[in-house]
Amino acid sequence: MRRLTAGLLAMGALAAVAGGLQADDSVFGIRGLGILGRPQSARSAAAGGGFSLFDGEGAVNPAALTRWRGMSGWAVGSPSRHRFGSPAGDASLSSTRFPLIGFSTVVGQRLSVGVTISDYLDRTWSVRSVDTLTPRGAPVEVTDQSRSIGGVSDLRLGAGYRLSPTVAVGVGLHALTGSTRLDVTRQFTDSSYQSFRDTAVTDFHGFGLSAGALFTPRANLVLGLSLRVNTALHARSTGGARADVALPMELGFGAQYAPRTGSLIGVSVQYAGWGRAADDLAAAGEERSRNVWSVGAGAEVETMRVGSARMPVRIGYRWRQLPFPVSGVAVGEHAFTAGLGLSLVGGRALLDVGYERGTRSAGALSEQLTTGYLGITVRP
Amino acid sequence: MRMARTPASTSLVAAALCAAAFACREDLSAPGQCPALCPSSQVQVADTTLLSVDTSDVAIRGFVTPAEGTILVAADLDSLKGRVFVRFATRPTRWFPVAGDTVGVTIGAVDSATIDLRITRDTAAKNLRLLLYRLPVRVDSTATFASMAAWFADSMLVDSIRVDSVPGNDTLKVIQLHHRFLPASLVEPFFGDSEVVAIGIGLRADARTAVTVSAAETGGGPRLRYYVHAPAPQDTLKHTFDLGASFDGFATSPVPAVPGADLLVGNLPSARSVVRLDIPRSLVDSTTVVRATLVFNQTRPATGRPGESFRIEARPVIRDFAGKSITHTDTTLYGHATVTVGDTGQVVLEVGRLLRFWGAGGDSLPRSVVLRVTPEGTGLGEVTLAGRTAGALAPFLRVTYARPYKFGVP
Repeated sequence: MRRLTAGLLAMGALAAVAGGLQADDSVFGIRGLGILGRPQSARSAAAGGGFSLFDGEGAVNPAALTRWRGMSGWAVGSPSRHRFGSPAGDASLSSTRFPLIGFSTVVGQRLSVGVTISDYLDRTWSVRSVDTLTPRGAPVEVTDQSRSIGGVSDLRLGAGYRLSPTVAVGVGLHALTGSTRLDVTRQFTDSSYQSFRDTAVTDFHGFGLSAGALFTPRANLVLGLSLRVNTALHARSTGGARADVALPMELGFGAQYAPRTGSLIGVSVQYAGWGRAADDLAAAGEERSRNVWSVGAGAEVETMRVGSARMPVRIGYRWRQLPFPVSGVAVGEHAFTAGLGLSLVGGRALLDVGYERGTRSAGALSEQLTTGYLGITVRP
Repeated sequence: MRMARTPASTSLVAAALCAAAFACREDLSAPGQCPALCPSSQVQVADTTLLSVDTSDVAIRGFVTPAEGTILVAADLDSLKGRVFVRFATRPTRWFPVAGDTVGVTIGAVDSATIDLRITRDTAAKNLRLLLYRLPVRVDSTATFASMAAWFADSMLVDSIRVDSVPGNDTLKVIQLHHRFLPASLVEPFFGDSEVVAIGIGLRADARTAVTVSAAETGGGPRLRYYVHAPAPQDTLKHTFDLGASFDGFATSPVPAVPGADLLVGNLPSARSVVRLDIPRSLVDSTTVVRATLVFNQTRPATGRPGESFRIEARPVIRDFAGKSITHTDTTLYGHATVTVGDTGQVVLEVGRLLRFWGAGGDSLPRSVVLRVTPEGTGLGEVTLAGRTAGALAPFLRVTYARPYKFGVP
C-alpha cells in the first residue's frame, strides 16, 4: 500500500504542476494548422519513435493495446526549450506540454480496451515585432504581439484483440477537439496613444478512425501496421470566420527486433497525406500543405540495474517533414534522442525519462530543440 | 515474474524531481519574421478628423464664487485690479477661565492685536506693502470692485504691512505674514457695538503687481488675534481671542465676462462649458480608438494672474442638464490640458479613454463633455474658446483608431 501511495504521489506531482503551466511553443506553429503532435510515450520518444507502432501507451496503433496484461494508467510530460534564430533576431522560448495521457484494461484473455488523450495539433506560439508608424504625420514606434494558446487534442477510444499468438489487431475511434485563443496587441511607445487588443477563440472538432495490426512471424521479430482516416477538421472562430479543412489519411509501418534478450531495436515509418488539406488552406489564405513522411529508429538495452530493478537505456534518431511550409519553404526537423527507464514500487510504477536534441528549420529560419520527456506508468 | 523492489523514499525523490523538472518556465516571444512567421492579418490604424463635431454648446458662470474659492486676490495691474474683503468672526465680550463658571470675565483692556495672512506674491515687485482698510461689517458677497471703491480710500486706511521687511522675505514667493497693530485700537470694532471687524486688503509696490491671500477655505485663512486682560481687580488675568474669517471674498475689475457665443472655462466666479458632440456610432462601436484629441481654438489670449498656469479637464456627462449636468466620477476618463496665462494657441484635450468608454460600456450616455478647470476656485485662469458657430475655428475631434482585427481560420 505504501509503495502504491508513493507511485500515485509521483503521478500527483506531475498533475499538480500541469495546471499552472503555459507554453510558448514553436513559432513555426503559426503557419497552417500548427505543429503536428507526436502521441508517443516517453519510452518511445527516447528511442526516436522507433517503437511507436508497438507501444501500448501510444495512440498510433490500436493493436498495440494487446501488449498490456492488466490495468494500466500513464501520463507523459514534456518540457521543451527552443532557441529560435532568424535574420530578425534570436529568442529563447520554452514550453511544457502533456502530450499523452491514457488508461487501459484487459477484458478476458484476448481483448484490451483503452482511452488515450494526446496532442494532435499544437497551436501555441507567440511572436513580437517592432515597427514605426506615422499616424497624424509623426513617427510613433509600436510593438505588436500575437499570442496563440491551445491546440487540437485527439481523444481515442481503442480496442485491441489478439487473434492468435502471432497476430493482433485493433481499431480506434478518434474525436478531435480543442480550441485556440489568439490575443493580438499593439502597444505604442508614445503615451498619448492607448494600446490595442483583440482576442478571438477558435473551436475545432473532427473525427477519425484508425486500425492496426501486429504480426509476430518470429519470437524476436514483430511487424506493425497502422492506418487512420479522418473527417474534415471544422474550425469556427468567435470572430465569425469558419472553415473546414480536410485531414489526411495516415499510414504507418514498422518493425521491432530483439537480437538478444534485453536488447531491442525498432524502426517506424509513417506517412500522412496532408496534401488533401492544401485546397482548404489556400481558400483560407494559408499556404498549401504537402504530404509528409516521418522516420524514427531506436534501440533499448538493459545493461544497468538499480538494486534488483532493471534500468533500460535507450537511444534513437528521428526525422520528419512538416506539412505546412513557411513562405513556400518546406519545414523539416530531426533529432537525436536518449533516455532510460526506472522501475518503482516493485514494478507497479515505471518512470521513463527521455531527452531529445534536434533542429527544426525552414530556409534561414531555424529552431534548436531541447526536449525532455517524463513518463509515468502505474500498474496497480 | 517477480517484481523488483524499490524503496518508497526513492519514489518520493522521483516525484519531487518530476515536479522540479516541470516547474521551470520562461515567457518570451519570438521576434516576428514577417510576413513568413507573422499572423496573416495585421493591426490596421487609421486617422480621421471630425470637423463639425460640436453640435451644441453652452457656457455658464458661477459654479464657485470668490467667496467660496481658496484664494483672495488683491491687484493693481492694468489688466486686473482686485480688492480683498475679510470679515472676522464676532469677538466675544467675555471669557471663562474656570470650568463651570457661567459668569466669566469681561475684557478690561486690549493689550495688542495681530493679524496673520498667508500670501503668494510676485517677487519681482519690490517694496510691496499690503494696505489694510476698515470696511463696514455688512460687507458680503454682493460687494463689487466699484461699490467698495469708497472704502479703499486713504481716509479708511488702518495700517499697512511691509511684506519684505522681514529678512529673507524678499526672496520668498509664499510668505506667512504676522503683523502686530500699533496701537491695537486700530482694529477695535469700527462700527457700532457688534464686536465685529471687517477689513479690506489692497496693495502698493514699486511695480504694478498682484498678491494672492489664502482664503479661509484652505484652512490657513486670515486670522485676527486680540491679547486682552481683565479689569481690576482681576487685571492679572489674560486671554487671547483668536478669530477666523466669517466671510472672505474679493472683487475684480474688469468683472469676468458674461457667457456669450464663446465657450468660457475658469476664473472666479468659475465658468464651465458643456459641449455636445456628434461622433459616428461606428467609430466608437466598431473600432478601437487608440487616440482621440479634442481641439479648441482660443478667441483671445488666456487671462488670469501673470504667469498663472491652470489645468482644464473634459469630463464625460452622465445626465445632461446643461450647467447642472452630472459628470462621471472616474477621473481616468477625463481629458486634460494645461494652459498658461497669455497663451493664444489651441487647447488640446486627449479624450481617447473617453471614446473607448462610450464604445465599451457607456453606449446609453450622452456624447457630451463638461469643460472646467481643476481644481476649481483656486485661480483666476480663464480661457475663451471658439464655439460651434465659429466656422473654421469651431472645435474639432481628431481620432486615430484601429480597425477590427481580421481573425482568420484555421
